[in-house]
Amino acid sequence: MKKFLLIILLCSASSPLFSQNSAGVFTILLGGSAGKFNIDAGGNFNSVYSNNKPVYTGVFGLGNGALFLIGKYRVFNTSGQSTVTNSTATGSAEWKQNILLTGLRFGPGTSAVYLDALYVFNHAEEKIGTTNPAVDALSADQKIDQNGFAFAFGLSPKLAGPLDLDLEVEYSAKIQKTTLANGTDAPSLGGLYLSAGLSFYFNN
Amino acid sequence: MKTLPLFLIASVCSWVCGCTPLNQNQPGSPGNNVVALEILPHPDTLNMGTNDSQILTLRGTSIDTSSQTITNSGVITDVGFTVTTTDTTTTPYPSDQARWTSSNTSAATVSNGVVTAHSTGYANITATAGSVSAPPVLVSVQGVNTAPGLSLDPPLVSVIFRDTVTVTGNVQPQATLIITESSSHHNDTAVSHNLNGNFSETIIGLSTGFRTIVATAQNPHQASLATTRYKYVYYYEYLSDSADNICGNWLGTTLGENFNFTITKSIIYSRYDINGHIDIQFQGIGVVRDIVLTGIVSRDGTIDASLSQSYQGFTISGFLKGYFKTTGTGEGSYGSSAKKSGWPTLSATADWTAVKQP
Repeated sequence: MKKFLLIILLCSASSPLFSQNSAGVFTILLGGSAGKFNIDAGGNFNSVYSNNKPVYTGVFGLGNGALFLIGKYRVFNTSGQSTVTNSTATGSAEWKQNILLTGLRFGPGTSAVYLDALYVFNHAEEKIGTTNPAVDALSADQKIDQNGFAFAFGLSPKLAGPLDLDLEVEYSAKIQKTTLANGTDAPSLGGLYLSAGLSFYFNN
Repeated sequence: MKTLPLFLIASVCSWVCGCTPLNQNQPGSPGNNVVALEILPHPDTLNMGTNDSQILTLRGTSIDTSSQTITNSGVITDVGFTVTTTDTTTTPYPSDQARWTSSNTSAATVSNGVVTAHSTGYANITATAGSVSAPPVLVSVQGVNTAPGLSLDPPLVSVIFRDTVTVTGNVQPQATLIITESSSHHNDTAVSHNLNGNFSETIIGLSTGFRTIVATAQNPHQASLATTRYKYVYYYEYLSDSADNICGNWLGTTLGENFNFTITKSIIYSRYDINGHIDIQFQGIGVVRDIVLTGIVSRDGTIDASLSQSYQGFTISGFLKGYFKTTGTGEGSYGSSAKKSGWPTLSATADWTAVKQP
């Protein structure tokens, strides 16, 4: 924990190790990251899918070097085995979640840390069924659209020229109560995203 | 309160006797759940000599309804359905619990299933339990010095596509039964039968064309006193030399689902092999796919194939029947059942058609 605070301190105070981008100049941000998304959907998610699958995120931003209007897009696809009761049929399950985040990024131009405040659009589709044998009556699919908010904190030490390394922690939560077809509350599609990536800053 | 002593007395008597009241819901027991009753043995005609006795028994068919809920759940998707099936159970029914009647007591009487023949004539024997009656059995009573009774089960005229036919029926138990057929050189002069006179004789090696099977029951004391019955069959072989035309790939259809299979010439003479897969729709469960279809096609075009699939305790079995034409079409029906531990047995029957692919 002390090391972590020390890194933040070093990043906040501009240094040769964490050199920064030019502030006040129109800048385009392009980036991408890979990480792990721990969804808040509930305990049943891990039993059906596990969630150790790597997740990739694309980042696009426009700003003045210190403040960016950014958008992030993430796809979280996984497959697993659904829970079948009173049957020895093998369950199958597919999960496809599209996550679009848009908001503001504070700080990258003036320090080597940044903070994102984001609005989140989640769209999840789940398709379950059985194999061996394939039983149509035990197959169904459902979709959820659920909005929320997210905050992210990142370290962005400069690597070379316009290239930054990004180490980021992001947490998203739902602000919208959604209901499933069976009348029950939908699980939260938010969660904790830990990632590492690269960002390019293009300016004059 | 007045009924309490009676209840106690009944309970004590039941305990002393070591018996329990007949369960009204027990399959096959007398009760509202028995939906059909059948007299055994069940020949259309029971042939008896005067003063003979025969024992008839009863079999009851009951309905047992059960349901099973099966769920399949993900995180946001949850499927659950309840399948209800009606299983029929057939078990012996106590003869003394039914009411037996004879339509002609001068020819034969019946008591708790025991039929006694008195004089030459006919009588219909029936049994009734509650509101359910068994189909009647016709008793034919012959005198001692007359030709013995003999009846053949229908159909008495039929078209067959194999060189084998089975003749069943009932003969007066004391009689000597002879069954002959010329083209197959079948000449059984002492066809065996059970104590009730029921017999079943298989004739193989028939030649194609119209064939006459002759059954004769002789009085054991005087052979000239005989009763003769005939069964006629036409043995038809229609694929002939062009049978190989059915070999190839076929596309079948049943209930809107397509299935594919192939027919190949077997190394066994006059036979073809059929192999493929079929998707079957079970009521209440949906379509079960990739059920293995395998069997043979005889030279007469008829199919003898089975359906099977199993995986982790889920077992599909069944049959597929029908016929193929050398012109490239086929049709028939199938029956299948699906069994799995914890599930009620599911069944499916439907027709199918098929067209040979170019």
